[in-house]
Amino acid sequence: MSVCPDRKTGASLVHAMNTTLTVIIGLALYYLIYRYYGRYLERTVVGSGEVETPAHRLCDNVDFIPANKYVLFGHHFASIAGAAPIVGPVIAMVWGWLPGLLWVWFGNIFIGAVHDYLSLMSSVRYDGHSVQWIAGRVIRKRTGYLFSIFVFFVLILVVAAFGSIIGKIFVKEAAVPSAYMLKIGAALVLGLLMYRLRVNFLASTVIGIAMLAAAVALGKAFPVHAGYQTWMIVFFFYIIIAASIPVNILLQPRDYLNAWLLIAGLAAGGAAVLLAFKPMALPAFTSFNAPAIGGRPTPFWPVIPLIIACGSLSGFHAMVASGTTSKQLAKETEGLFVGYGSMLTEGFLSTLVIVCMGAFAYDVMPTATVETLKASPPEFAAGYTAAVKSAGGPVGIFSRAYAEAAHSALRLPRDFMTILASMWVASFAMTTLDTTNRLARYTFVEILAPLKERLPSLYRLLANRWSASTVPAATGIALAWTGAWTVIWPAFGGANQMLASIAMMTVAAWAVREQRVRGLNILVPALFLWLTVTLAVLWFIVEVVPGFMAKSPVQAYVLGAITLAMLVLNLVLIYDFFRPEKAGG
Amino acid sequence: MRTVFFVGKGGVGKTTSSASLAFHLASAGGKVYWVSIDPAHNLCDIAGCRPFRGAREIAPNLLAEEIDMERCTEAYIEKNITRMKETYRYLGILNLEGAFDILRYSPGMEEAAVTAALADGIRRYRERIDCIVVDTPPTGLMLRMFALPFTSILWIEKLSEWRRTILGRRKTVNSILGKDSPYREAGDEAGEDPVLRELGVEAERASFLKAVFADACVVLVTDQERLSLDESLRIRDGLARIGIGISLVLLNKFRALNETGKRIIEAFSDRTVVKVPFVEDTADRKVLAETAAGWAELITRTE
Amino acid sequence: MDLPSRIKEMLSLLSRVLRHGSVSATEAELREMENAFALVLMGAFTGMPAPPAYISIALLPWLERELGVMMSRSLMHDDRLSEWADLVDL
Repeated sequence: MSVCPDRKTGASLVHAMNTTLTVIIGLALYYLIYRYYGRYLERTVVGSGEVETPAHRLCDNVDFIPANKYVLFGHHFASIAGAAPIVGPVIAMVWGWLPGLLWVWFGNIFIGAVHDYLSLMSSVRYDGHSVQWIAGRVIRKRTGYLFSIFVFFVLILVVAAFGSIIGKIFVKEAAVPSAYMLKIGAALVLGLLMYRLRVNFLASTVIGIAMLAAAVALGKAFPVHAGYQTWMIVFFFYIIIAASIPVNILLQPRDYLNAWLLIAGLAAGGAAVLLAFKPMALPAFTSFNAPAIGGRPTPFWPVIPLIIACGSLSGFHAMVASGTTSKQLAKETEGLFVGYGSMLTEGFLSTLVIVCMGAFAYDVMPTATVETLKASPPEFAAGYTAAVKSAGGPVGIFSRAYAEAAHSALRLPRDFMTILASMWVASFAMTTLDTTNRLARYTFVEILAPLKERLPSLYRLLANRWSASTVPAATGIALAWTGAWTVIWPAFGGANQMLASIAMMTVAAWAVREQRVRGLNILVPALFLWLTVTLAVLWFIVEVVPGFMAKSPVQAYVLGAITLAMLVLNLVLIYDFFRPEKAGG
Repeated sequence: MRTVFFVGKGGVGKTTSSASLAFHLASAGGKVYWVSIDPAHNLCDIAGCRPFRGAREIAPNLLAEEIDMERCTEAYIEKNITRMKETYRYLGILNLEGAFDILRYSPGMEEAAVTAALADGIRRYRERIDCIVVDTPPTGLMLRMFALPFTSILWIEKLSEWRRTILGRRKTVNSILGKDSPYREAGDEAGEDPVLRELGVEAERASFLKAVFADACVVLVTDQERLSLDESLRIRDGLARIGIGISLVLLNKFRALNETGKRIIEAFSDRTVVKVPFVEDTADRKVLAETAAGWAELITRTE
Repeated sequence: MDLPSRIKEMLSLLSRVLRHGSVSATEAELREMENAFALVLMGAFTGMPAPPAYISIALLPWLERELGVMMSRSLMHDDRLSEWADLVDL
């Protein structure tokens, strides 16, 4: 792309964008907004912040323990960081790099981070109770139940979404599954060292990191080739087994290794794009209706929240914020740093992804493809998703672009960095596969609770440990079976944003009704979000599901049913929001 | 050293039979510890002495003790309640005294207290004793008393295992978090854990009793009443369920064999049934000793 | 504050953050184990299938901490789902 420094039109300004500049602007934007808008939010909604937090007031050294704000930030950020802030932006590149970036910046600032922050603070004001519990109190009792249903759908759809994305990269790049399996081995060994034998923490960490590096290096040497559907079956059994074994054998050490992958990935990625000074090669904007989902022209608004969730806005974060984080917040004034701050940090991660892709994606595609895509923005939009698919899906293209950035800016070996990046995303995605199963076991039974009185035998049939584990896992894998990630990903995004919808409405209701603030700056985003998500899901059902029906009828029906159910429940939600139950009723 | 338990319905002559054996063995030169857990407190009537507490030598070679069940249970509970009151003095849990007094009526306190007392007694005297003769409480309590070590051991093992896992996890968290750990005050050493220690004490007592019961000789005393037959069968089945067999059946107060008597002999056809004649003066020690002469060696002979 | 001690402080903070991260799931598990341990022993007094009451009574004097955990956990008895959301990394 040519850079024309003389012309001051918007077009050339955009052309002048390079990785470094974009990242710096992003950082500056986040910082300023944090300082000014964040503080403003804190003042108007939360107040002076002199109220004692439940961590002190209800301190019991069990759940309620005041934590150091950096420790809490680390915990909270690690809990919301995953594979989604990486995968989403890659898919959204089809509209060009600018629209996605604007959503990651402004969607995050005005909706996403606000959502996270207020979920945290409302929970703090409610003795550490979750947004789900609060929804049941400030909106309507059944809103809490609705919440569980949406959570359950998220838990199933995320298995389908992540499973299919990881399946694609496992097929395309056979070094990745073997590196991942070696990493599992490393986690088991680390678990033994750190938690059983209680070897010194520093020593165990060093050994763990060394094993991780070895896994990445050896993955290339011993690739594991298998078909996509074979991987789906493997994932199913992996989920069932991993979700059944004690936490300190696999889950805990694996999470610790993931934290280091995140640190390494962020540090190397951040350094690479900051030092690259490479201009953005991909088009800034292609078309409003680029074919992102199922090959259909996809309107950027309202569908973008379904594509880029975490990194900009994610309903699940409301649960994390009002789960353990709110019970450990030492001072109300630290809430902005922990809640608003972590979401902005995740936005930073997504910014890195977009910038990396924008500047380096062409360098890792076959020349013929690049020719076609460069021809014109509409050509780019038409061909981008196919190019992603042939690279091994979003993980495939991202890991290569990332490695290219790391190589060109930091002279790090391409192969190693490609596998490292793939492992980074795969690790977080695979973790989510089995941890969501653990949650799904619980949520499944919680949702079936009304059946207990009315249809006890059906309840007994369904609400046992075995079926509560296999039904969500099997459904998720079944949906992922055909590998149509372009269709499944937005479905998962839809469920997640429905959750965000409830959370935003709950905190808006809290702000307006309990805190008695004018709350327009929360109410407007909440209603805007509700509208956006409803329209997006409606579009999905009308435009995408029928097309999907032709290719994979079973999956399409299930997906259609789930999204339709969510749509209906979303309407119930807005109805209940405007007609809340009287307190004490 | 043998342990002999006398079981049977109240009123069939259990205490008298146990007294017979005790006096018989003592007069033959054996050192006997005769303990009665029966709340009917017949021991002193039969032994012809005034009521006493603790163990006392009422005849040469014969140490007798009457465990007052009510006082025994009282004392057992008091001990635990006192410990709890001390620990929870600062916790303000409800109405402390009121809550813990309810524990008296907890299911299982009686048999816990009684087996504890029995275990203590056996342990105290077994070195210098050749034979322990036990007069057991009424059937219900007797069966629960026998069953207690068997069910307890299972629970105690599981709880100990669980406790060790908890301590292990605490140790892991402590070793990594150091002074940041919420568990730095909570114990994490298996060797110093009071819960494990207490469980160990209970485990030891339970296995001790299990061994005693497994090795013991159980004598079923009955008469020719219909109700006695029914209860005797219940006793047999109840003991069989925990793997304890009846070694000898005494058909007491025997004059002539009636219908019920025949049915008893039939029901226990695989065991020796000894017809014990009606004893007029149960306070006469010599008569008592002689009554046992007919069947005492059946006991000492059996493996 | 001079640079070396500044760096030392930051490293120590980083160490704390990493250490907490490395045991967060274990701590949650431990909490639940202690909670369940107390619940099982309390069952003797609420008519649930439980160890014989005398075992519970014998252990009770040393279970102050566990009883506290049990009571704390029971505060959130109707609000369990979100507590586990941080496992998911979504």
